[in-house]
Amino acid sequence: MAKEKTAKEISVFEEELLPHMDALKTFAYHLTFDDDDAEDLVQETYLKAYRFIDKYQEGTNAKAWLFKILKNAYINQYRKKVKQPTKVDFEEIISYHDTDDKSKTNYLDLRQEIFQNIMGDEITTEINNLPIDFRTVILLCDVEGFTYEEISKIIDVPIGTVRSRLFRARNILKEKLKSYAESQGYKDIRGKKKKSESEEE
Amino acid sequence: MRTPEQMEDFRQKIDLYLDNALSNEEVTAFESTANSHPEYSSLLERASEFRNLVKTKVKRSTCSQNLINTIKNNIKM
Repeated sequence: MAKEKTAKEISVFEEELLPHMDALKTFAYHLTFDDDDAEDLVQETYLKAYRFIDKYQEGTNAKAWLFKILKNAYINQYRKKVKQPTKVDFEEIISYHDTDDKSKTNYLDLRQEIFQNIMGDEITTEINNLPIDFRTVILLCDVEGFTYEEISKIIDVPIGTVRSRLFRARNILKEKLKSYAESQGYKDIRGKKKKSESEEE
Repeated sequence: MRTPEQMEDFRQKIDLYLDNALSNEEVTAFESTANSHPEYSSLLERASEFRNLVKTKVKRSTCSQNLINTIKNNIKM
């Protein structure tokens, strides 16, 4: 039989946990790609959080705690029954990319002009096209502002892995956005400009 | 003109800086470096703009009133 919640626990739930509903829904939506599934996931998260509210320490990181519950709920239920979120073999991608060696991957630097050619829809589309673990770290870090340590605890991987996934996820995202901008007529003339200038000389 | 090694070192620190993963001392040193040369500051500006683009343009969801009511009813608040 479930233990009766105290007035204090109910107060903590309402004041510290409920304000994160929309952030959780955003995360859930980008995991499931379905509004109803996302709401189911948020509902399940809050019901679990309420059931285990005695495990939560008041004034600690409520948002990170909720995100971890949601991530686990997603893994336990939705990924098994819902359509595969990506066409790429997930484990293959992770085992290939989960190294902390960045030396073989160049840091991709996007030109400012590219930003002007990109609308919000493309950002969302390309984030959603990322393999799930890359998408997850982008959402947790760049969208929700979690620290490496918090992300490490939410997704149960070492901080070094969080950093390497972020590095690669951002580079993939930049490549995709660059390709999109080029398809819209943007041309990256770096290098070419210098070459033509030297030819004129 | 910065050397490729200097630029690479700076690039690696950009992520840590924008992710708030540097100590106070490291932040001071990084900002000093960033302000020391236009190539650095330009690189930082573009990286910062990319982050801002992702943060502000990604689709965000809001919970329906029905979901909010369901959660509150389930826990009888």
